[in-house]
Order: sequence, then structure tokens, then C-alpha cells
Amino acid sequence: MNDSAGLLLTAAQMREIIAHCRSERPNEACGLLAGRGGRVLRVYPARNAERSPQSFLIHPDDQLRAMSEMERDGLEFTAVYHSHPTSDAVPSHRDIQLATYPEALNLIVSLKREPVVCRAYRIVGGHQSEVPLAIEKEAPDVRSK
Amino acid sequence: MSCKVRIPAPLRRYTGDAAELHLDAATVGDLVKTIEAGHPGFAAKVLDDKGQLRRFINIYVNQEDIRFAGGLGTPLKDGDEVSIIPAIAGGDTSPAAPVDSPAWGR
Ligand SMILES: [Zn+2]
Repeated sequence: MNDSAGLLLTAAQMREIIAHCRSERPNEACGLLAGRGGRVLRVYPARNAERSPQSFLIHPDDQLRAMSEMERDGLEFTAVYHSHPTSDAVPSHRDIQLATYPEALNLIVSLKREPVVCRAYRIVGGHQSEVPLAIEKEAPDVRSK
Repeated sequence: MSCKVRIPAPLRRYTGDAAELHLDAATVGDLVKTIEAGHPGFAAKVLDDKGQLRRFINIYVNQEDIRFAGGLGTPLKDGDEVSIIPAIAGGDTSPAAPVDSPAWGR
């Protein structure tokens, strides 16, 4: 479970996520984030099995691979990220309805306009609430944990 | 024939918080029945009312998606690792998008 209330990423991780979201345009991009206590230590870009500008479904093979690795390495499933190519960084009705993993936060990247807007949410039991999203410059050292 | 079954967080409330089960079963379908016998309510989360695998549930035997193997009839052998994983999905602001019919993109 997530110890802290928000989501903490490095600037490099954020750049990687945004670059992935841009590269999938016009379709939505999606992926998983693993870490500890809200701090992201690993980014897992995934294929959008729906290949759609309006929806995403993390390719189950990519999901299995990422989740197996998290389990093997003792990492938490910190968050799911996905892009909104043409709308705001706010969870859609479908995002809220389909949220399956209550322990994972949701990071939404809006590509609607420049600069892109990223916001994080907790979605549990059909309700969403925004949580703080912090970007830090230094890369965390996984080995020192 | 003992298999290791990995249960992800969203389904653990139906397995008494167990993250891993070790069970004997001849097929994936039998495995679901065996889990159901010990944890009533579990099967309904995985199978629909026709007994088919739910659209947003994926079951893997080792690294293979059973939808592309033998479905619920996929045979199990000693030492197999079974992962039951609810899909992760969502959508943009399109209220018209039907929630129960994702197009599997492959
Ligand atoms: Zn969305």
C-alpha cells in the first residue's frame, strides 16, 4: 500500500512518461509505475490493447510481466498512468468505473495543450480524489533501499 | 499436482487475504471450482453467469494467456504457476463508450 498521500516521481521519469504519451498520439497511452511509499522507482510503458484515442486497456501480457517483476523485486504497484490526448487531466466516468486496483494511484497526462498537464488521483469504490504530485530532480537509488 | 496460484490485491478479499494459494487441480476450470469451495464468492468474481471467464479477468498459466490456450479447459501440471489478473482499463471523456465491451486489440 501507499504510505504517503501522493505520488513522487523524478523529472526523468516524468519526461519518459510524457514522451511515451506523445508517441502514442492520437491514441491513449498507458503504463504502470512501481515503487515504494508513493515514490516511483520504475516505469513500465505498456501497449494499449484497445489502440484507441478514447480508451485504454493495458495489454494483459505487459501487465503480467510488470506485476511479476514488482513481486519478484519487492516493489509496490504504485500507480497506473494514461494519457488524455484531447481532454483535461481529469478522470473520466469510465476511468472511475473501471479502476480495479485500489492500492494504485492514477496519473493522468493531458496532451490537450502545451505545456502538458499531469495530475494524480486516488480512485476507490467509484470515487476519485486528487492527490499531490511531486517531481524531484535527483534519481532515487534503488540499491540503497 | 500442486499449482501455485497468485492472487492480486483486488481479489484477496475473496481469498481471506491470501496472496498465494497452493492447490491441486487438473484444469484451470477445476482450479476455480477448488478455490470457490474454500472461498465462496470467488468464482463469481472470475466467471460470468454462464460460467465463462469474465471479460476483464485474465488468467495466465505460467506466461500463457489461457484465452489463447485451452480456455478454462487448459490442463495444469505439477509446478505450474497460475496468475489471475483483473485488467486495467479506462477511457477518455466519452460517456458513449460501452463499459462492458472492450475490443481486445490482438
Ligand atoms: Zn482517462
